[in-house]
Amino acid sequence: MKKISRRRFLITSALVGGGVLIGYSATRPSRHRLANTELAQSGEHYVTSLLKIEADNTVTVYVPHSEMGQGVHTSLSMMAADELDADWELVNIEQAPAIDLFANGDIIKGFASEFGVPSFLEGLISVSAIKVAELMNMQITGGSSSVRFTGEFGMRTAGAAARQMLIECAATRWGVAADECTTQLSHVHHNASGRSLAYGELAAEAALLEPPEDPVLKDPSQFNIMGKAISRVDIPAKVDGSAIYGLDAKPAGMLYAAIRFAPVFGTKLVSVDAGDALNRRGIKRIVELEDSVAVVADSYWRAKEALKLVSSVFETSANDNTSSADIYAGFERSLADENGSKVIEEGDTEAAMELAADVIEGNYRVPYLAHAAMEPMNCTVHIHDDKVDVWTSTQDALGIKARVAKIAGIAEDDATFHHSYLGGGFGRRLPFNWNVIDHATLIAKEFDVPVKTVLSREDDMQQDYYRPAVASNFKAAFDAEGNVLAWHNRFTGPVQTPGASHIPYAIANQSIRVVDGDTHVPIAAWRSVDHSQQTFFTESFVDEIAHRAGKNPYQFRMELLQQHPRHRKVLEVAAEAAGYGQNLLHAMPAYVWGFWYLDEVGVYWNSSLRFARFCADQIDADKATYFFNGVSGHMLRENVSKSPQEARLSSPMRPAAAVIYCQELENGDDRCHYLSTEEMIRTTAKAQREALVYVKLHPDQSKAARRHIMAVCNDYPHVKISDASVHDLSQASRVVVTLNSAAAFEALMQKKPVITCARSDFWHATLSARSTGDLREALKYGPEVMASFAYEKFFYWFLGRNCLEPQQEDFAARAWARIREKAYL
Amino acid sequence: MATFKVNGIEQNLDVEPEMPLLWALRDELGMTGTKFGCGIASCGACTVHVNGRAVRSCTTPVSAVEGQDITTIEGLAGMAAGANTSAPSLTAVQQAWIDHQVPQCGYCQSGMIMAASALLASNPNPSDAEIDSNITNVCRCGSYPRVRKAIRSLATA
Repeated sequence: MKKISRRRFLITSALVGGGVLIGYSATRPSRHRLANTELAQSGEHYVTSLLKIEADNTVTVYVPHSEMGQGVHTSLSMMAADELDADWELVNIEQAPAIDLFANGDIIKGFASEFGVPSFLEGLISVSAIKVAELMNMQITGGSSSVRFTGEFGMRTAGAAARQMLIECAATRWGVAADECTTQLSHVHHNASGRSLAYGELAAEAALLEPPEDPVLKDPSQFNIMGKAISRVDIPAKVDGSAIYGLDAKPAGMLYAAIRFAPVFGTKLVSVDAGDALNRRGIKRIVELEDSVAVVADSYWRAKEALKLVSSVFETSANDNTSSADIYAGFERSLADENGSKVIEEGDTEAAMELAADVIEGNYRVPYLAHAAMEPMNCTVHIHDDKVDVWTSTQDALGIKARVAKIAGIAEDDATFHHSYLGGGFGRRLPFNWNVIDHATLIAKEFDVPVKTVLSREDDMQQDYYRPAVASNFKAAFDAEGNVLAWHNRFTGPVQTPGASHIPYAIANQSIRVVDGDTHVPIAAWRSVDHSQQTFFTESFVDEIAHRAGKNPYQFRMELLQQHPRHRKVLEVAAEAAGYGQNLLHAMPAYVWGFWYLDEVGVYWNSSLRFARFCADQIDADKATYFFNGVSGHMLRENVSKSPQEARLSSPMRPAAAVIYCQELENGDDRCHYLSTEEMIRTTAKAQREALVYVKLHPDQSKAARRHIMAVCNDYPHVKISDASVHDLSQASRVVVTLNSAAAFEALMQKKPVITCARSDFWHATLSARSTGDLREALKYGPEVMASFAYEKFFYWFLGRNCLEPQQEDFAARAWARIREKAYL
Repeated sequence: MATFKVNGIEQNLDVEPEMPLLWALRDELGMTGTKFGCGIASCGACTVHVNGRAVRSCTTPVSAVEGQDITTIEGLAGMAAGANTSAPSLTAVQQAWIDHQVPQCGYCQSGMIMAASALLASNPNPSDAEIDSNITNVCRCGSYPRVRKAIRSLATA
């Protein structure tokens, strides 16, 4: 057994016009990341990810994964760009072509280190004698692996290596030490001498350098792009009809095939009677395959209509009348008769069951599930002049290319894969779920023009490779005090995700075993794979146990998770977000002086109002106006604010494009802040170069934060720090920018457009900026967008819904009513 | 011969009268923005406008739209802008879809946007219940909360 080598293989090459191309193969060793000998050796020979820096300072990231709605083009590019300290505005994203150079071996390595080879790849490994090195020839998108493995080991390392090389070039040029240089927004800076160079100016030299062995990755606190809600690059094309999916391929001269498969899995076609099908308009040919029959026509609809006229006979089989009930009966027999194979055996479950004061039992079942991707399965193949072209939505372009080339009898090098978006994948479009790919290729072999084979929705549901049906039998043993002694689980296989049936709970005796669940129904990975059923089984039975033990199911789990801080944290966060079981109401002054929260979920950004819907049309306009005018008139007139304010000015302040209200927790709460205070100021300053921008510090700002903000403001002559009353500042400004401060809430009283760059519970009345791009847009269009917002109604709704005003006469009655309502008394 | 306008341009197609509009658009005219999802008017991926009304094109034969005005996702913004050449290249609905980052795989979103646009045109301020009862399109990724959010952002603006 050889451990993964520490060596990395980085390829750099110079580009015409003075750029650099960087490819990286990364293996990050740790005690978790041991792979078998074959994987380790092959790990030394491939390149996983590429990024390109050109002389014009643009960066191109080649993403070797399929975009199927998970945002992978954006997320992987963010990972590379962040480590590179690239200016996100200068980053281009391209789908990596389906060629060996972009095979994503990081996935194999990542999985191999975590669990052994994942079962969805086992087929390839076990049926094939070829070396694992060649198995790396795939571009799998699946198993939640893209960010975890390609991103973590490939993209980040490539970005960090490139950054280090660019620094080295700049340092050499300036004759300074590399550690005196910093990077930001696609530039290397030497702060001591005030010099800087764009990456594009250094790229040609960087191409000549020896790549670093082990580039240092950023600490999460240093991330500038990762962790932000960046707008997805694939979305604009998905709102105007221009996004191309596999089914949208239209090479010239294309024909269409509609197909009928054997109605029982595993049976073969016996005979076909074309009937009148061939006489219909546009019908080219009827193609008979081993397990199916297809009609090829000049339109899919014509092919599908003609197929209805074709009669076909398929073999009979032992499964012709097999029903769901038969299949579950088989599962019950396996569970009753078989001892199965071991998943976990700890302690002595059998003995514990015998000694137990009580034993409870639970039985669970889940059915087969089709993937049901919105885009029906399809594949277009063109075999011509000893070449083959393939268009299809797939989770493994390289694997599909190889499969089609093999069936077509054409060398892989002469095969071309044409990428597209996927209208959903969910595992259906992984390798080994070959039925459309194989059939499309075999049909296309009969023609010299492209043929697109399309499964109807009915075919798609009936001819899938399903999430398996599974039955599971549990037993739990208790002692006389109600403590859990033993956990017993028998379920029908196969195991596709090792570990999915394991439990983290501290139960001394555990016996988890898998029995035979094979049927004639084809199965495959399906969205989260075994977790989809095992988590349901396990956690349902844990609830049963807690119920029997007479314990709160949350507390019960927490007690059994003493050794698992991460699991406990997950439960805590979930409970907090759900406001679960806290039996308390949060009381805190609200944004507006005199009003208090009394909330079961939390306060400020985390109050229950965050989840509430504001429907202006359901609010009484007269009452709202009366309330709004009363509260805001008083506060503006008397200069009342949540924090003490300077006296109001006798004449209006100089008008400004924006005012930015800083908050005291500006580097604080990762969970709720989309932008930092610095980003907020810099983005606003740059977007509003022509006009004044006010910045107001928070009264409780730390000295360090104060110094930092003042330094940032000093970079812009048109940005002024002001101590004036928030009411004067809001009045003078076109828009208000904030994370989620009370000052901004108060600006709503002046009906000002407010931009919140953090989560808030008054987002209904603001423009939320989740990225600097959002902020720029909001600055531009804010007044226009918010012009007709129902501020009066919002105020009345917000403060009336959850906040109490103690000054009012009926305060006690209203407070009790609120407590009864919120605490379910 | 089937004759109808698609995004303002008259089309004369030599196709069977019973050919569904979906396949006339996709296979005959090469306009692939309108999607095939189920073929039985169940999922809504194929939604287009016929005279401004949302219609599921996969079960609408071309004979039923003879002489009518069809708008597809490709022409939505252009038809809304009319002769106004300085109009934005996206409608407010499309822009809201970007602002709220609605699409995931995106396959159902052409139909979703066509359905939402038709709803807002006839009812500028739909309630949640009206949104739910009018937008019955299927999204396998589960983008429904953002679809509602995007529609509401337009309704209350």
